[in-house]
Amino acid sequence: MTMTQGKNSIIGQSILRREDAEILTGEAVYVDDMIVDGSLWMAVTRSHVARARIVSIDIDQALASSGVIAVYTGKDLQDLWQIPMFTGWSTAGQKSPAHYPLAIDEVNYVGEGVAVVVAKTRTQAIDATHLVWVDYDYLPPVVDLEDALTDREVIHTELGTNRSYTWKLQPHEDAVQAAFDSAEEVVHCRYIQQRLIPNSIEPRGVVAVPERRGAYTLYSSTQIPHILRLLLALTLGIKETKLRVVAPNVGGAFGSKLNIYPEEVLALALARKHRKPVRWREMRSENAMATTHGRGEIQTISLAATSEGKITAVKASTLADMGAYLRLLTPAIPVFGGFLFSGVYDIPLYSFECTSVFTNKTPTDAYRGAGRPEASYAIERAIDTLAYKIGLDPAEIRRRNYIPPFTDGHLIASTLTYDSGNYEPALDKALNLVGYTELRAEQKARRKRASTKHLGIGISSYIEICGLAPSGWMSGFGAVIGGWESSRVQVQPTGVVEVITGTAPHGQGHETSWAQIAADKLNVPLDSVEVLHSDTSISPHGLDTYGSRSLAVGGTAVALSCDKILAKIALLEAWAGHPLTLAEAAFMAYDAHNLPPGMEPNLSAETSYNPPNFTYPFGTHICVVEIDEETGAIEILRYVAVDDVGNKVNPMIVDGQIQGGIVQGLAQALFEEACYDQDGNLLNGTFAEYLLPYASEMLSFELDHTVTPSPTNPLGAKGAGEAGTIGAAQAAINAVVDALRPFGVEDIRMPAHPERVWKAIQEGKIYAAD
Amino acid sequence: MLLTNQFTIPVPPEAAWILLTDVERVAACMPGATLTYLEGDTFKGIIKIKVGPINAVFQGQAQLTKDDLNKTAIILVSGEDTKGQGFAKGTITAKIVPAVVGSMVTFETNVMITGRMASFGRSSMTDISDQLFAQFVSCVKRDLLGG
Repeated sequence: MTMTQGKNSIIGQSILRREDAEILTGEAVYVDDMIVDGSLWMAVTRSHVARARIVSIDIDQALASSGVIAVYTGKDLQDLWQIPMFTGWSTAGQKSPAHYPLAIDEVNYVGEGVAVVVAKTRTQAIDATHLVWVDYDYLPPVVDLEDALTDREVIHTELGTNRSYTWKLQPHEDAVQAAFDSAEEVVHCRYIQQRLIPNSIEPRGVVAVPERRGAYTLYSSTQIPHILRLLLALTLGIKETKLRVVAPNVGGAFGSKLNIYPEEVLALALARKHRKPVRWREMRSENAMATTHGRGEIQTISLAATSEGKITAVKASTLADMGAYLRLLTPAIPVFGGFLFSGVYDIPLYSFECTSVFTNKTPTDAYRGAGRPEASYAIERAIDTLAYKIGLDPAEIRRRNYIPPFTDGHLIASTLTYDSGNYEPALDKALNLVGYTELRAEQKARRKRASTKHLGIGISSYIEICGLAPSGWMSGFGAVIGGWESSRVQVQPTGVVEVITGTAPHGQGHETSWAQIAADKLNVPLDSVEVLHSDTSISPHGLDTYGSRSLAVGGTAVALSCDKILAKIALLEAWAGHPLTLAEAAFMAYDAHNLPPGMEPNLSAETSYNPPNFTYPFGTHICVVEIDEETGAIEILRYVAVDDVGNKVNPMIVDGQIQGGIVQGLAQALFEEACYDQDGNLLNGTFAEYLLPYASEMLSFELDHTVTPSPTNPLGAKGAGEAGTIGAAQAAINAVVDALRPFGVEDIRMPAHPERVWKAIQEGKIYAAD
Repeated sequence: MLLTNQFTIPVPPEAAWILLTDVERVAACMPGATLTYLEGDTFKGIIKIKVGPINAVFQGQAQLTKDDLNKTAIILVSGEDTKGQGFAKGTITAKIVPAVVGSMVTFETNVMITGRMASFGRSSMTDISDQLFAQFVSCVKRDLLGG
């Protein structure tokens, strides 16, 4: 049951995306474009303090403000919530403070909602939010991670500690300790994964519409319409059958729209209360503090190795910043990466521990890579550190440690079973493409003539876990949902095909890709296939889009439904005694005048596919930088990426995903960081001070691929959405450190902006002078 | 955030103390400030300042505690911008000691600033406070020399 990839097959072809025309011409409808007559607008008054008790809230001035219909505080609305804001993950013993769409007695981060205004226009609503006067009893905020860990000041007093959980993955701890005790070489490293603010081009927005007979429709810029429907039903006590959730065009998400947000709950609750449509749209400054943040960890990693550079054990730990509360997947993120600190290497002994703490900052949650970039960064930086220590070339030390090639399963020490892997060819391809030998020669020549323009080469051989998920595995972590995906394929009497998928694309091109899969299977022209999604009334079952799961799980579900249709066609042909075109078979099934005994009318099929394993894309990226010794400025001269995503349906779409991912990884390495002061104020929540790289600041990447099909699914696809991000940050930082080795630099904090680089150079010069 | 400012004036500490604990005169020297209420050691006022891109009108109150012996004054201040753009709460400790010539007056301000002012104006806050302080000082000196 493998995918056909014959020379006439459209699988593997870079078909132009059918999604793009309307997006580029401005005709695409995003939540904010929707025209909904009679709408009221909602806006949220947010806490300006990081931690305080709410003494009282005066809404009189806001109520009297022009156009205002109503103002509600957290106390006013608390009886509406059937359950607190939901967390869909439970690591054993996890402590979690209840939190609600609006704060009731206390606030715990700058940006937390304390009141909501309903008004006739958006501007009137926003203006009135500034006229809600909250009397706060200030409390000392906890901002620093290591300080939070000491419990010197406990944020959620009902928990008695700032520690949410400690999770250990230590299958053979004594052996690990013994390996370190007897190792010929040991490196200990510490890294900071700085907090990041996800910046989708489309901010969040909601429209909640009351329909007839007690039903509601919620339009939201979300990546999880199906999951959101279930969670909203539970939170507001609305029957699922009375709630439809639709994600219109969604302008990017990257994990920041993988949540149930207070504004979604509030809009729906207020639409129900006022019996009118209620809308909300985020301001960019709200995105910075009220949409979830990414990363936020302090990591340690130690490697034990032989004098030849063969790693015998890895021991890693993470101190993770949850922020003020646990959102939908907040506690899951560091745990998810916890399995990957051995990377692509054949390391027999493994130890990982994660402690997650609360701080008075915006809650963290999924952000492109979600746990895997952090793990990949640690092992790839550490192996470079080991290489330098023992005098090995970074490419060579990787060669000595790669897991040998395998096609169908390889159990690693952290208990995962990798699907298929062939790591060395990707390295070779990348080294070749970048001209590694010549670059090293150039670097040597520059150093010899004491050039002030320092060349650095950074390698990153990453792996990631995606294709979420085998449902049984999810239960082991108290994840509330499974990891299946659903499809329905129906062939209409005129022979056109509708593919209804449970995925929820927000820029990934599923409509094009699933059409390719179905058209290939059913042997029909591409434009006779229509792909429908992101509407719970149209797509009955789904687990939506995140974790690079959609092709591996959702695409497979589409392929399997097509297979069922082909099987039915074969039976119809046998009964008819001659071949049938798709349209003939469809009409035969539709008019049902003469069907084989026991066959149901209509040519359609449904599949809910539960994958047997994850999938594991991998690759090698090489970054070449030039650093100006006098200014600390970094220029990326070249960036080569060789990625293996298994079989590809649409190579152009894959490349697009890789490119976007690489930019986000480089952005973390060189540009972005969410900065807080000791009072818990977010200092750089605008684009004036939070540095998103411009397209003009990015070079053109050189992309290539190897193809190692995944045995996990019939498509042989591994997934590609996050791979670029997971490979990139450490490629850049390895290059920066490589460039600065003559100054004794061993590490540099992200983002490695010119001031940091320059300071590292100066410090190195001082030490050298001693 | 912590701000420290100091200046010297050519009068002995006793005279400096009397001048600087005269709330009405001091308030008159604060750029952009208007005193709206004064009762004993409690006073309220309005200060108009521009911090970064934010034009703020702070409504605030202060509580003054004097230690005449050590010529130290502790002022608890809190205030909020009338448009909700910023909030401040903190303590100013003012101390007068003899200098080589006259007196040295030191202000140590420990203030928590939140809201949009803290987010957008943080980078200019030290500069602005230095600027305001310089204006305050020249006004005080003028007052002294004049009065």
